[in-house]
Amino acid sequence: MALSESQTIRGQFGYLDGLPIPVPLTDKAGASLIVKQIAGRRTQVVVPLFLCSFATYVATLVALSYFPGLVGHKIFGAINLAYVLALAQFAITFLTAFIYARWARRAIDPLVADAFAILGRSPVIRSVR
Amino acid sequence: MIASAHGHLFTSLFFFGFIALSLGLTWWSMRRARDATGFFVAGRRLTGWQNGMAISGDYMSAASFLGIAGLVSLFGYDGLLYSFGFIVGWVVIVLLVAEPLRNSGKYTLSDVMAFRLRARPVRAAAAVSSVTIGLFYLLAQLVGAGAIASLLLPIQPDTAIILVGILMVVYVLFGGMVATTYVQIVKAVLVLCATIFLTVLLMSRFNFSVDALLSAAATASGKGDAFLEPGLYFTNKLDLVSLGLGLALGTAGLPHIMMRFYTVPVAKDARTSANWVIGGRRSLSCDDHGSRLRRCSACWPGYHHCGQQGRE
Repeated sequence: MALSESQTIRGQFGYLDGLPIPVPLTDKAGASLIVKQIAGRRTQVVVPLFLCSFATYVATLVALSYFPGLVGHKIFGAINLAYVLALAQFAITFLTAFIYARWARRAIDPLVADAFAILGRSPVIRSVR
Repeated sequence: MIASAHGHLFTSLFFFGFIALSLGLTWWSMRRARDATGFFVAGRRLTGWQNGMAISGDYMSAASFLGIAGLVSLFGYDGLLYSFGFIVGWVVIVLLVAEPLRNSGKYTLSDVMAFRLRARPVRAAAAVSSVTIGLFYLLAQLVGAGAIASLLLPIQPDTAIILVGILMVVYVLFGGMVATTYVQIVKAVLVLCATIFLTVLLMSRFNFSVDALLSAAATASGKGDAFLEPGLYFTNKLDLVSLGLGLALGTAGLPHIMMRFYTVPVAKDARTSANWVIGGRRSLSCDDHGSRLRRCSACWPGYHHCGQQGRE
């Protein structure tokens, strides 16, 4: 989709956080502003998300090796805390990926589409054989 | 020899069928890829789903299947660390690596680093580490693949290793990224189906009770409850933490996995493929768990309830 010269692009979320508004986002400079915005937003979300899930993992590892009495505690029949922690790692990983994917779909993908639109290129080359 | 002549005939047919299929895919994709982008990164036209399944296929390798099942059967809980440590590695990949890598528009990790840093030393370092990682990785894979092939076919393990190695080289050399991708997708689907099937078979013997399964495994191991707790394999406490960190952080350094993120059109698809791996692994791992235990029970001499019948 081609954009008219005067049109200012504004994503679904009004994405010019921290930038002087209004900026005409219709040329290459505008596209690179959007790209900066994408990078900034990603850092804000990715770093805390990563630290949280990785901290849980490290805590699990420490618990498994240094607190054998605790992780050996039986919860249901023969199933002990160690197995629950192992399964929890799968759940946490899945949850992290899910949260990130959902957020990125809403907060990043519209910006990417706008940036591509400004540059007059289609982001999707989906003719797979 | 465990299997009868009849069993060999069946497995050989299946084995050669798969080889024929994968060579067919190689031949087919050989005619499509005409330039560097086509050969190395499949023209950057794979969908997130295809790429995700291919990465899953990379993961469900001979070494991880035989290796983790073997560790669990010998040391119980400690073997599981390999299973959930690997998947935590995908948090690193999804959040920090996948999208920036695709956005770089390069072919390999060293291309990306050479773009940012001084090219010559970076390329030398990347080459050395790739060869080192690849060597150790391939050693384990080839030994595993040789062991499997010599069980399925009436050939010696040594011959099997050489044949499997030649096959791998042929796939990659002639088919490039497109062929390896499709071969891995087929493999991922087959392995997933087989695992689910085995898990259902196993669980049906224990009335679908995980509790009963674990109790039986602990009893038959001869180690009792210790079999279900960490500490049999990692006798030094720091070993477990160190290996756990290595698994989680090292996944993002595997060259053959990372280069798959260059095969999709945009960063969004890189994200999708990583999520497909996690989704696939997640559903797999629940089953995995069971089937690994199934295989361990098959290994224990005293435990023929599963063992004998599983071989037929």
